[in-house]
Amino acid sequence: SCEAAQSAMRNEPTAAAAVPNSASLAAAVGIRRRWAIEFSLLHHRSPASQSRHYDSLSTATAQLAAPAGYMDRPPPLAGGREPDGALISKRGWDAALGPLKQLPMNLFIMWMAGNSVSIFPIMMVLMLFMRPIQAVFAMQATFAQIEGGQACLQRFVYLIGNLAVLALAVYKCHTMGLLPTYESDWLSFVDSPRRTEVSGGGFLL
Amino acid sequence: MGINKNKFSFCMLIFLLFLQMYSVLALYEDEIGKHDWTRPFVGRVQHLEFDLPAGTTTKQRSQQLQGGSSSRRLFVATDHNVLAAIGLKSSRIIWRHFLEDAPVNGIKLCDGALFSMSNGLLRSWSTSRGILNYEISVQEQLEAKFAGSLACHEDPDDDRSLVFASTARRLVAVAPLTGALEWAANLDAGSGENHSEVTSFPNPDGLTVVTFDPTAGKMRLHRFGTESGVAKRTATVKAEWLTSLQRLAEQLGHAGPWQSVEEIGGQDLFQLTSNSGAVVAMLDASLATGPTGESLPAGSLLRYRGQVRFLLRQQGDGGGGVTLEASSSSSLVASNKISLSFASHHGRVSQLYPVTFVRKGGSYGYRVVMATRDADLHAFDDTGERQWMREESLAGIVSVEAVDLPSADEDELVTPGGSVFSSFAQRLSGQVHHFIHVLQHLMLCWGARPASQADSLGEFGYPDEAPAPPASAASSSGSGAGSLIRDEFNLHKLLVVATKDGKLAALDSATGRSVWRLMIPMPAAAAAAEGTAAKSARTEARIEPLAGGQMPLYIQRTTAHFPLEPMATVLCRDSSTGRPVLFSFNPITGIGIGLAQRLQSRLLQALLVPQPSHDDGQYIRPLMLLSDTLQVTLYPAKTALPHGFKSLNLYTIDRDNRLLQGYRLRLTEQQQQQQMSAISTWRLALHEPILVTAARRPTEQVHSVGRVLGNRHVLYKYLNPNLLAVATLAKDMVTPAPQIGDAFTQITIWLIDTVSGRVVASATHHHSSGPVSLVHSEHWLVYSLWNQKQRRFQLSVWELFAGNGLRDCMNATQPIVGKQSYILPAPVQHLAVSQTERGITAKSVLLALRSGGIMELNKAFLDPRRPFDMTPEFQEEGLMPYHPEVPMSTQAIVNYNQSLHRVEGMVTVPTGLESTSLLFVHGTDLFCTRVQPSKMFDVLKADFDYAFIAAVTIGMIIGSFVTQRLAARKALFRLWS
Repeated sequence: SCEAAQSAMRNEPTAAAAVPNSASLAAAVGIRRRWAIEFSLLHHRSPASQSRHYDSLSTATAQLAAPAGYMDRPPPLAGGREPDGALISKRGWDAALGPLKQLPMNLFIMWMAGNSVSIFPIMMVLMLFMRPIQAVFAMQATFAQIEGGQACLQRFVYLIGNLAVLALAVYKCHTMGLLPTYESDWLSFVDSPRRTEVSGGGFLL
Repeated sequence: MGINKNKFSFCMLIFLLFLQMYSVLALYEDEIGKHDWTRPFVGRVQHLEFDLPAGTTTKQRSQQLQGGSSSRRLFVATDHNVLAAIGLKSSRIIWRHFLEDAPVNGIKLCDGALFSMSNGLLRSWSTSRGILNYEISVQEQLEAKFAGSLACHEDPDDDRSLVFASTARRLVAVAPLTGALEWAANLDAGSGENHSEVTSFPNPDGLTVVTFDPTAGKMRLHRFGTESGVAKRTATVKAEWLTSLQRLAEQLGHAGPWQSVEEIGGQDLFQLTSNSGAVVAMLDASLATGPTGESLPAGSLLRYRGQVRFLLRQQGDGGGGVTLEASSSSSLVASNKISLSFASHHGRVSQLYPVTFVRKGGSYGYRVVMATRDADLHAFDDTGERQWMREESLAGIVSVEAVDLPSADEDELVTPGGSVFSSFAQRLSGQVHHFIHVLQHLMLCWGARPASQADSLGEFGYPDEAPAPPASAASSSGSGAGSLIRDEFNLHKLLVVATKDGKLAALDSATGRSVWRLMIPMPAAAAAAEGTAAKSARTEARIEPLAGGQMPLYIQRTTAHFPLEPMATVLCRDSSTGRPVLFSFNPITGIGIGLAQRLQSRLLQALLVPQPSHDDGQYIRPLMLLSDTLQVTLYPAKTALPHGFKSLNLYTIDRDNRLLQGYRLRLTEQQQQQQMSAISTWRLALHEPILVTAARRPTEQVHSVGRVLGNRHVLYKYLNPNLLAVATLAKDMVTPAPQIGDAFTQITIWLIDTVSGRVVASATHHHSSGPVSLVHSEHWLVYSLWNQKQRRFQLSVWELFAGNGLRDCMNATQPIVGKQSYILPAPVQHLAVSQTERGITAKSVLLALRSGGIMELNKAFLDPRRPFDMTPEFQEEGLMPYHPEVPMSTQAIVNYNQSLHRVEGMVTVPTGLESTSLLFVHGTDLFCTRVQPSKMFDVLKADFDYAFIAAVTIGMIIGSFVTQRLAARKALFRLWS
């Protein structure tokens, strides 16, 4: 419970403080850390002083010395090693190939849905449309995750994957007959010819 | 447009159909008469019998009379060959029979049963229920023309009565109760004369029969006793005047000149009375005097009924009332001189039937039933007060036009194409006009309130209309028109009708009541021209339909141009000169616009130009009149032809010469004046008798120019608005003649382009004959005919397609014609097609069946593309597999159990609701209902649960608010916990 309380309290200042830092960090390493607790510091204190520390915390936080585990400097990087290039690329490919991997499953679902125009196939087609469109809108965020040397290719593959899903959705619409691809779909817009020659009559009067 | 519109709309339709399934099941009892009305008629009365002719009193009769006066009724036989019983008090039809297509020669009450004579057959009917007791053929061998006469001999002393029925050649005496033949006699035995007319009347000893031979100018009298068929006395009277008398009687306007021949004074002195009540001749059998009829004032009537004698005098010109003088030897008759008044639009009195009866106190009373020139039937009591009126004139409707009622909020005030400011000013001024109009109307209503109580008597169909001076008539019609405001969906219309007797009337489409009635006035120039030349002929000049019973109505200005009153025009003929007459009137109020105009030349044809000329701000659609000298004039003369038409064409169909001719309007400039004439452009001789023709309605709207196929390609319709379908009859040269009976005939259907005269398509049905009825709409043609070989009616459909590509079909000259035929399990009299405002709704073909039903048949059943082998593609298209029989379900009968007989025409009118069209059926009966070919897809049902839906919606809104609160609270608690 003590950890939870601390983290709850410190979450805000660190998050705020982390903004400029994390930017530089992310630039350097590509992995961000929002907060960290220095557990080593906790071990130096006795339980009694700890409880005292809590009491004083409620009265005057500002006057207190830095709480346990608080560090002025940014938390040290885990491992502190250089990032693994292969791993980053693997992650990148995972993200990039995600939409393409879904394609077979989508194909199967769409095949299962059938070509009838009813509520469930329509919902499925809408879902199929929604996902790639959402992904395209969130492209910036996704692209930010993809790093490394093959980033350009990966981004392209990601885009292609989404477009493929979109194409599948469009094809599904086509097979369901929801696309205005035939002459009959535009028939309502054809005006009936205007009458220019008037004729009338009947039996002799 | 991301979705396939057609498919989507189809799905929606299916969905909506499912929603409406409940209402399709049947008509509920409380729905009867909700959206429809029926008015049964009998037609123009030709013979009338009172149930209790107390003039010939027998003991039995007077007992009956005193016993039950509630069952008093009158029996009529009419020109529609109807035999009917009408309640003398209620004016309702108690029973009605439609006899075969032969005129009823006479009806007679004898010994408590009703006898009718028509087609050479004597029939006996029970008076209470109209059940046929028996039927006897009077003629020995077939006679070409069935003249006939009926007489009843009742002997007050013994109970032996006899019914005498005679054709021009034979007389039979029948015991009325059993129908046993007592004796028979030949009338022309050995004389060799060709008697074509016959009349008979009882004399104290038996019967006198008079046969007439107008061509030879002879009449023959036969006197018979009751015992045997040996004539007691016969005499041949030379009467050269008979031919002229016939002509005179024809001028008087009715079929048989020998309505009644009565014996005066018990001797051989006869009085010939024509149908119209004029005494045309008095003669002595031995002297054979000439006609005295011309010296007697037309319209006077002498009648002997027991002790009472009536003298009728027309007041003034005859319109508006007559005076009836009743004189009697006994002083028991209530009043001697009564004045019978009726509205002037009924015209003169044409027939008068007085009857006397004995009251409970022993005094005599009498009733007068009277038919006027317009065929309406009036009943008066002995104070001269009218008891009821039957609008039998409406049984003779020849043309119908529906008029939209004036709209309460005038959206159409503004002329299109004006500038913003001018439109605004127009709208403002129009609304001010409208406001003033409403104020005036309110003032009128306020002023007319005490007087309008008389309207309360007006029951359905028999509104009271007291004769009134023209001013108050105008105001009453004005207040009547006040309630005539267009409803929300424009379902309420006015049906303007013209009858064959030259009368105009407007029927309220919601109730069937007559809103106004108007006799087409004679053109003023007529009286002046004839002047003193033919004083007697002046009274006989009538308005009558043009050749072939045509009397077209044209709506020249609609109600949409508010400050300007609507205008309709009727084209008819003046019977004395045969010249066409034009008369314009306001179709809403029934007030004439100007006077009737007689045209100087005969007309070949008339055409209402489909658009008004905007130039003069009058919005009148000109009527193009083509005279026989090929001169074209416009009516009204001051209108101009609208621009924007490449050509204006007219065609005429000459039934006698079997010829079709086309004319084109030619404009030439002469001395800076536009001269209009017509040039003959084509001529098509069909060489076969023309049966019927049908053309597309000029106002018809076509929504879709093509049909979507199963593979989602389009088959474009061949939409030529100028097509005319013609059915002709010829001798069948192909099918070998049957073993028995006449040779087969064949029916040929032609589709003719009326602009170029080209035959677009034609087809021949061998071993077929009429009756043919045709209906042409959009790109299809449906017709019914009789298949002589299979002995059944069949229904055929043609659909015309232009092709698969839009570009091809614009230039298509020769359509692809698909044809299919079906068996119709019932005989059909007439065909019509439903019309909707935009043409989006599916079409229904309406069939008037001989059985009296109007069947609504979805056009999808009549589709040449119905396949023999079903494929998924056809299924996709929504086609049904071909089945030779047209399905007939009782649920498709739109008039449920209200049978309509002798249907002469069916008119469909689009309404403001796309799903609905009004159907008006006329003939002997009138019927109006709403037809919804695709059900009511654009309106909620009448029993839609508004309260439930509102409660659910409000509940949902409240529920969402409450749950939102609850959710917020819960979230807060979760944070705190």
